[in-house]
Amino acid sequence: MGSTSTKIKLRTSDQKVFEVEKAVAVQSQTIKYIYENGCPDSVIHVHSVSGDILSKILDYCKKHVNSAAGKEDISPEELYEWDANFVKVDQNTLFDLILAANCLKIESLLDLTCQTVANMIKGKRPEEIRTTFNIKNDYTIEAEEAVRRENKWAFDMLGGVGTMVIEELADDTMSKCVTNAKSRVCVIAANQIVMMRSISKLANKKSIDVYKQPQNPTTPRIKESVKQINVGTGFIELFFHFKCKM
Amino acid sequence: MEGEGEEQTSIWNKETVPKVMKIVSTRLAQRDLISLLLLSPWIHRTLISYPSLWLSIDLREMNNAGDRLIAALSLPRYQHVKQISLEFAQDIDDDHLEVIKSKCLGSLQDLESLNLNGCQKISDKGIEAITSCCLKLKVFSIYWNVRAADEGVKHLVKNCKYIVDLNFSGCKHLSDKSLQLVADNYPELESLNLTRCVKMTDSGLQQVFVKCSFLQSLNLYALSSFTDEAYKKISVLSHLKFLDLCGAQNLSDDGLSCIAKCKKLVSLNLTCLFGIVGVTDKCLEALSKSCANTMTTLDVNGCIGIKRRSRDDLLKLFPYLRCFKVHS
Repeated sequence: MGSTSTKIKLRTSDQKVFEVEKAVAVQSQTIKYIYENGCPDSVIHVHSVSGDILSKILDYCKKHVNSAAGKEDISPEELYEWDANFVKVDQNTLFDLILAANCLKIESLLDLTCQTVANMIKGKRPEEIRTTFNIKNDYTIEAEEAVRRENKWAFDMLGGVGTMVIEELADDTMSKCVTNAKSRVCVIAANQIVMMRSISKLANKKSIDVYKQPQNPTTPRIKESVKQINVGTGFIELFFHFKCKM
Repeated sequence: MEGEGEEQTSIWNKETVPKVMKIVSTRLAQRDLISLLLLSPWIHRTLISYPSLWLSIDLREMNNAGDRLIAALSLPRYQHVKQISLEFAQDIDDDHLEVIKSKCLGSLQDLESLNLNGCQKISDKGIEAITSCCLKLKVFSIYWNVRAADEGVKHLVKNCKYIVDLNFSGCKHLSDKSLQLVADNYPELESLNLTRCVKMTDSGLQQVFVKCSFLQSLNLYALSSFTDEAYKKISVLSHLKFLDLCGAQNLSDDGLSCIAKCKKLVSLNLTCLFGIVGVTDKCLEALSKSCANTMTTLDVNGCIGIKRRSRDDLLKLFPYLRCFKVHS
């Protein structure tokens, strides 16, 4: 009557059936609950998890159960490294693992996978995050502008007090931003001629730094020179010209 | 074929990514969390629909903090914010708090914790304004505010009836009057920090001991004017776990033996630059009799009257001691 040899049957969304040791299966709080509150012999359906993903998850659970029970001779450092390798998968798989670990309520696996993604997000600008995860920017220009504006308060200015970062915005918006900036204005534009109109407050600016946005988000930004062309009555037109180097 | 790829991309962008980002978002700092909102309208919609993600506003060490706070509070998603930290934030003053009072009243109705540590431009006027908006406040911290005076505390106790954690560390203008207000209004107080509130005296402190019997944490760091008169009364605080008496140069065996009656003491700091000469081995034994099972942190640096103070000596008296500070 050894409970360690009890097996639980799991059926996935693509109709694959797995027979799993109870100790391993109940790492999932969801499966544990269903098993303890239902008929012990019946098959448990894990509707939202595919065979491939469940297979990987069971590998994880087995590894952790065995190491905790002393069945496998593995040091904490080795287990940590095993975990690190476990999450070296393509993004689709990683995301599927998160959704499955969430649904199956396997806390340690959820922590591991989520932390991996969190580390890929930390400190990145939105454009960089989009590139990392192949996220399409479905915002209209106006909508994106609005969301940026209403959340501007949460972001520190680049380069310290008094510097404002403007990225690929319409002329009107840019002129509003420039009049509000304290001393320096950084413009990040991607390989285009940006024309900017502003009221004469711009003339009081100490310096204007212009950064070209590289196509590879991990490359540091490159400073270009500013050409101040026209100084009209109350208006200054600035032209920034970038060479398509990257 | 093309249709299938498009559909997959659509599912990725509209379903998978938003769902995953929502799950991951609880592990992100504020700045990264808000960056997610900028990624796509699908992620934005998903994240905004979970109120639990938007219960905290963190403006620590940021400049233009007053304007930033007003901007944040005018967003619908922060209507139920529970925690705001402006620790060492710059450029926030009474005027900003007045604006918040007049414009953002609704957003602060669920606020439980407000950290204004280091916001030195805020005075009693600002305290009045902000506390009038957050009636459910439980934790209030205003460390190193040299403008705050008893008047500000008067507004605090009038507006906020549920305070359990107060940090007045460094608010050197607060007097016994503030202690009286605290004692009269916060019988459920659990944590009180009076570091460097040098105007306070024994009589004010005694009021607190008598009326705030649920105190668990008491910080009296760098307050050298208190005497045994007050220290002896600490014995009534039966729930006391953390006590910082660093700088208590008037403390003697008498006072400490009364303190020893607090059976749940976990951490006790008795350091003093100029020496707490009145404390000897005798009271350590008294302390050991009652708190041997709970004491994990003990600092007796400067108590030159304590001769048996080696690590082994102390472990004999307090077997669970984890943190020793026995420099001579």
